[in-house]
Amino acid sequence: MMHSTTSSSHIKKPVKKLLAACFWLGIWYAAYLAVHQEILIPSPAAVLVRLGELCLQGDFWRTVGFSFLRIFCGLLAALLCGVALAALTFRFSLFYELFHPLLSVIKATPVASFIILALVWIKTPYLSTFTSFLMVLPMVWENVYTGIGQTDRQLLEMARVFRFGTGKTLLHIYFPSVLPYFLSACMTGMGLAWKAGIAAEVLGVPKLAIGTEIYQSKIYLETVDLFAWTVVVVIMSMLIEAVFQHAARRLNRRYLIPAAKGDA
Amino acid sequence: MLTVTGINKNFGKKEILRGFSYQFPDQGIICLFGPSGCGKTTLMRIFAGLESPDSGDVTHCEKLSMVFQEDRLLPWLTAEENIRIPCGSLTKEDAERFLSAVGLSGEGDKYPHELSGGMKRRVAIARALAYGGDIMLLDEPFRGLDRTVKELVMQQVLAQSREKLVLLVTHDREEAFLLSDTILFLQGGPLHITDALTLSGKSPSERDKLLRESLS
Repeated sequence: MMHSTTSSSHIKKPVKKLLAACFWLGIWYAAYLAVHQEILIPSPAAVLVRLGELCLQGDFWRTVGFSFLRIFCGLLAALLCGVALAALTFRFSLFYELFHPLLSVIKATPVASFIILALVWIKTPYLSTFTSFLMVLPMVWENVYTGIGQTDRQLLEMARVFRFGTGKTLLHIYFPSVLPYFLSACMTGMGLAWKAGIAAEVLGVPKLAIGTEIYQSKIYLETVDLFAWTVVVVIMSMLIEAVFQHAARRLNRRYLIPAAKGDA
Repeated sequence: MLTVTGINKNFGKKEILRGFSYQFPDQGIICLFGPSGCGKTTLMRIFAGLESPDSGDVTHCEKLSMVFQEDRLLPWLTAEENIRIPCGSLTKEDAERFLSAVGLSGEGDKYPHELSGGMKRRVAIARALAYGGDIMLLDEPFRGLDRTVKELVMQQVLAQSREKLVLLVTHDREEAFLLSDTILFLQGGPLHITDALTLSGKSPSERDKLLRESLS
């Protein structure tokens, strides 16, 4: 009985996803039929065809690659700086007092304000890197800071008595304790970096960028292109998330699952 | 060698230790016996370097091991890894040997959540045995162990006490009389020694007699 329930739920999940996708495609197609103007809402088929055409162009892959690279660099820098900043502000309260207001301001400021301001200072190719960095940094800092604070004091005391030293304490106590908070920040941060980065490209219009293509499509009222590039953004976002989830699952298997079962 | 000289410790307005002094021997089991909240654990934490006295001196060797009131095992490591990680050069076989010594042979691959309360306790004891050092601090180490297992673990503690100082905190009078070379009877407010009973060299029957006398 138990087996049949489990296997049927495994089969049902992809089918459910497919049905959901079909439903929303149907809504899109119905909207297209209702409006019946390609310039306002193109048909899903037209977008698919255009996407196929784009894929065959050499510049398409370079555009996607460069956009990804710029945004990923910003994300990576935010993850590294966020962790370092969290450790620093947790260790020294003076740094916490110093950085906390700044990070709160960054968190509360609309992304467009930063992009427009940054346009004055930074060359447009680096704008999306800077924007994604700035958007993700406070989130990583906040999550990792909370994770460090939630680390089991009793385990840290045990590490002191058994003279773990800094390396072992970081690796065997802080790292597994902070990991769930860090992974959560990564998951949210990736989506945010991707969206903020593309927005920065739309406003900065650098060469070989998805945002620039979206901007051009809007200027020339090429709605099919606009939709096709938006689909590219969505697919990229889903791919990055899938790769990340795979990596996270491997880490979870090592650290989080035993702990979670223990808590339960 | 563990020597405490005139240590004072307050938690807020509560005075835990006032001028507490004692010179512990190099070997043997010294039992700190007293009511809950009298300051025994605070004293152990000071010995372990987890609390600093407000004033006074604590002199002891560099390396000591401890069994805490809680198991304090790393939940993401197996029993065997929990023993090996603090010890550095300990091999898998060595870890298995220490697990066997506390009756956990073949359980090394299990994670703490897969072990019972008593088994986790024994892993914590095995970790302290494996770590070594000249002093072993045991804060209610036998809590939650059944009689057979307790006897097995007590044998290990007794073996350790032949070459190092074992400080045992317990509320169990029977444990104290059975194992200890010296029992320090303590009272709180602030912590002080009310009596010291030397049991070194006493036979089990003599210890039993003294235990019955102390209960009457």
